[in-house]
Amino acid sequence: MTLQATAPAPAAVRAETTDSAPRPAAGVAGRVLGALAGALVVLWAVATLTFFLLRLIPGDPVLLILGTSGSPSAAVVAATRAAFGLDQPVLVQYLHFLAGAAHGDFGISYQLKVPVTQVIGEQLLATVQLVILAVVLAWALSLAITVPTAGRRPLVERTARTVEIVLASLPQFWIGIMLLVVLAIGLGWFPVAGGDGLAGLFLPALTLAIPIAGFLSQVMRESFETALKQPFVTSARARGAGEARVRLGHALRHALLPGVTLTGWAVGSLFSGAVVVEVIFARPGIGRVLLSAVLSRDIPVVLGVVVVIAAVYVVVNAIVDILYPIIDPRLASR
Amino acid sequence: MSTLLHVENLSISFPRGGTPTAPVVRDVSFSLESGRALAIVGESGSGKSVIARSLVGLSGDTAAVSADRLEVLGRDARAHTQRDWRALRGKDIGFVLQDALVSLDPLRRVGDELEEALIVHGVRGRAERRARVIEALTAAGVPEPQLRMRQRAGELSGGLRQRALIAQALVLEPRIIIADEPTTALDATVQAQIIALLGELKGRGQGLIVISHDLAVVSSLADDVLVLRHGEVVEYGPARDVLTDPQHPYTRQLIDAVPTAAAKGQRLCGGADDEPRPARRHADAAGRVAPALEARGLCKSYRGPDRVTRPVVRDVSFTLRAGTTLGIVGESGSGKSTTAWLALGLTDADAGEVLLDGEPWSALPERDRRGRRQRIQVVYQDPLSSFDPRLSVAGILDDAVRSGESLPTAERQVRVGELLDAVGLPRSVADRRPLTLSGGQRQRVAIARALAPKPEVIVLDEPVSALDVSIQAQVLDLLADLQERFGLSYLFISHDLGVVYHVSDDVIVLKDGRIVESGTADDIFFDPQHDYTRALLAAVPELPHPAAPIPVTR
Amino acid sequence: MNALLVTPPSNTDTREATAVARPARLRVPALQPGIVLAAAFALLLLAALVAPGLIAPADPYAVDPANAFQPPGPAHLFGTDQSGRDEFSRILWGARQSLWVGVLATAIGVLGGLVLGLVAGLGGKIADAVTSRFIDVLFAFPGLLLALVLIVVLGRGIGPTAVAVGIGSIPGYARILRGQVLQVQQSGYVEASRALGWSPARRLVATVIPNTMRPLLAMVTLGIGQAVVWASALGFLGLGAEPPTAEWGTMLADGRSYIQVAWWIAFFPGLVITLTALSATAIGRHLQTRFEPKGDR
Repeated sequence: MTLQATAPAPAAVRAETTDSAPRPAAGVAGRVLGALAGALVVLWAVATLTFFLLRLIPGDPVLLILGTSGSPSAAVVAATRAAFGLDQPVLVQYLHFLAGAAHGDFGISYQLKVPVTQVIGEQLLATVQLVILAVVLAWALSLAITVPTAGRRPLVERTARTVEIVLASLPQFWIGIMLLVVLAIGLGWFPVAGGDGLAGLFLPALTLAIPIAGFLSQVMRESFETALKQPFVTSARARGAGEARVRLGHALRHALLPGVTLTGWAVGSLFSGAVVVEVIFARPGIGRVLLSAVLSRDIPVVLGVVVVIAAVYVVVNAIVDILYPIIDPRLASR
Repeated sequence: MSTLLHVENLSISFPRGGTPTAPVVRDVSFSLESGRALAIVGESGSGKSVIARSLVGLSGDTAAVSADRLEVLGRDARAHTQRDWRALRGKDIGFVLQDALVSLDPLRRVGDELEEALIVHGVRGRAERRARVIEALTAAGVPEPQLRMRQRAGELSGGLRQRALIAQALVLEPRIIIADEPTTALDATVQAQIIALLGELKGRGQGLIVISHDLAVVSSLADDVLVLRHGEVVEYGPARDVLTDPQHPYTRQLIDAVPTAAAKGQRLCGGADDEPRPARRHADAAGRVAPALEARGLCKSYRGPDRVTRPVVRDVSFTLRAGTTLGIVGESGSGKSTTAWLALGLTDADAGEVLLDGEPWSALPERDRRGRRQRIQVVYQDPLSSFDPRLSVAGILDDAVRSGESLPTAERQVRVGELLDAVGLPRSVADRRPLTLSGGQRQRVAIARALAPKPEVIVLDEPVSALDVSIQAQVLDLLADLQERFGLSYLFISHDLGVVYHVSDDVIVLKDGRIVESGTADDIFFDPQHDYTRALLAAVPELPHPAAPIPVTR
Repeated sequence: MNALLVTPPSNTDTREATAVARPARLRVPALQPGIVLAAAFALLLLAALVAPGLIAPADPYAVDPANAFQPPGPAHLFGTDQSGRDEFSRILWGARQSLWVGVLATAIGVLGGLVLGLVAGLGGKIADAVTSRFIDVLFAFPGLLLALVLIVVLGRGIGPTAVAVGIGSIPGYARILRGQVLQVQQSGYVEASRALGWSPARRLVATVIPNTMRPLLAMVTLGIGQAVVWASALGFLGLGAEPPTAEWGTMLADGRSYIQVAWWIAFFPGLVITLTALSATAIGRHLQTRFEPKGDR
């Protein structure tokens, strides 16, 4: 995220230096390269941190692979240890993991005994679809709440604010169940579990979208209202612009800025929030993969999923960083 | 000549939840003819901006507007719906707000902003609209309009920005232009240009209403002046009469409060009948030992966000004689605030040194400076941000007293009370938070804090720039009294030449970080040697003052 | 979700402060009905936390198969579950688990966030660069991810849940506190205390740290609500308390199996979690506006 307050010079000095000529833009290519390099560093750190965190699990990982039933012979233990490369020094294991991860290879699942990449690959698309629809729904909901109500009469506004706080406070594991009970089981509008295409996707996506919409509306309303109070809005009205033009043509663009920033963060958390929704709606997806891996301490799968989600997070935020100056041209010339 | 606007007994209030409240504007009447300019003048809270907005139907949903007559271009506007107003806005009445940096959408190109007025009012054809945008920018004196229309307000200089904002109001050639504080926050030279531009509009037969807090600024432009106070008309008539022969004591007070050449060395807040009395003797340098503060060859550069190093202060030297005031004048970007910071030792100079009372000051390590910081204090333009938000006025002053000397609690309380007395604040203020005080009161608290450690020198960084004229006058009088009483030396920084002349014994003029001229206040103001000083002086708005045979400029 | 991240930025309207001598009115919000309800609910929770036995009408663990699946009514306010246990009593007793986890997790999160935030904000350029990068890395474990990874290491249970949720919330607190430290350090009043000749240590103790801590109470309140939701999510996923224990998330997960026959078993725990989050948000926001009135700074 880019919203950090860093301005070391004293206030008075800053005021005097701001009039200086804007420097030529660093160039889109340079920005993209910079963002990608930063993203790779973060990703490496995430992978490393997770790798060593998971080394802290008490007990012998071989026993996790072989399961708790019966007591395997020493030969089997040794063979398994060698097969999973666990007989080598930690550092070698780490380098081996890094080299593999760089090629998209996260090793073999302890439980499923198939390559982690395959496990994730089979399930990723379902979660991606879910998250994309959730983001779209969250934006639609929050625009519908914010744009018509921001800066209106106190009663309208207070009501809208309350709605936003309630939406943001609703836990996904509860609204998911309630939506399922009312809309799928009670009214039969949607399939109860699974379901193909959009119909099956809608309720889970809505479940994910509702709290995000609450957060999104809150930040967008704040900037929307700030923008509406600015003199440039009065200027627009004074040249004859109507309410719709003022809201959509002027204030909305200012409200998009924090909304986009928040979305970058939300996409990441939606991937891990998908765990809950995929369990409730009995959907396939990497959330379920992660949960069963957590429950069975399937280390390579946990590592793989963490790196994939972190990669999504980092890439989406890099894209947000690159796109930001397009929405706010002031940043491009700075 | 035709009547463009006719307003009789306009009253505006903002009822809350159905209960009527006291009107913020009461029984205001005026009219505007084509080719003439009406200035509506008042201090903050006088209701002047509310009137301006009500003339375009923008006083807000909660406003209750009533009038016996409210005619715009001969039509009764009292029953206008928002739709009716929208048809008027931009087309018949152009509206210019203060500071284009915030009055033009910072995310949109200047050209798109101008074009919006044309789109809204149904002008078809992109090429046609573009042509008219360029025409309007040209009329407002914006050079290279094709280039400028593709830029955003933030990319333009202050003057160009304000011209673009005026162009935005001109694009449909409305017959009435309302300008709300059109020159506030602009440098003096730019301010003069904008006033001249507005004068040209008048010459083209448009009617102009200028809203301002500054009598002097509008005096050269206005044909008629309406003075407002607490929402009521104090005085209304031809500009010449109102400015030179004010009938109402409040108008008189406003005029007196403007620091001019004639008022130098006198109090600004006398009653109308009071004999002007000297606030202080001009200090004499003879017989004094070391200068209170001395700067030798100060240089300072800052590295911008683009990693280019720019000199902000270049080879600045000055001497502040003990017990006197040295004024530093400059426009924005001149390096005057950085100079103040260097003098205070809050920023280290790249080269040069500062002596405090003849002893090394800037050359000392911070650790050694700390024990002597009590001797040089500072008052900021925005006092509120310099107060710890957790503290009450008493807490703020107590902190400052403790920095000077260690006293038992009871004695510190006495000192806090004395300080409040010294700056003319009631003791009841002690328990309040600065946030709940008025701007003038906050500045008095800031001055009291600066006095607390018993300093010899006080650096005053634009101390009155954010204040209304009458409050400014009170604060300037207070500073003069305190200087007399405690023998203080002031380093007074301001962009306002009138204020600087009024308070200063010596003056230096800064431009782009360099001293272009220095000397006694009288030398600088009556015999300027440098072109820049002359340009600055020429730009100072002049108030035709009955008691001022010698204007500040010649 | 991290409510702390989306707290509306304090509206720094500098023009209000500098332009005119208008006496700024302190906008302290009046006690609205919402905040009163939130406070009442918080008091109820507190009572349940301290002495659930006094309020709860029944033993939360008393199995009574004859009374299973009783709908809400006078005998059982929130109905009974599949084993005939009184839901209302279980929810009251569950407050102990869920709230303690929330409080403990918030304490861990705030402490960790304080350490990182202060090191970044006060430690100088290099410390700031390193710490900020570290916070960025923690942020790349979005949402529940960091907590889930920690559960793998720590194992299931109430204690691990609190630790996992707490550590998972560190980056959010750290970023806010770092920003707060930087903002305070660059403020006019810290500069003013320098001009008074205060030593760096005195400035730190008397001005920088207390002003950094100013929003802490509101942050903690908001944070507890969030931590309760996170902890319940882990409970719902079967990573929290072991089955017989009354814990809201676990109860909700239990009720899911019977949702078609007895909706109330899942409904009421979820409602209470939502109301907890809601009242924490309402109280937190109220504290925010009360201690940081607009126009401040």
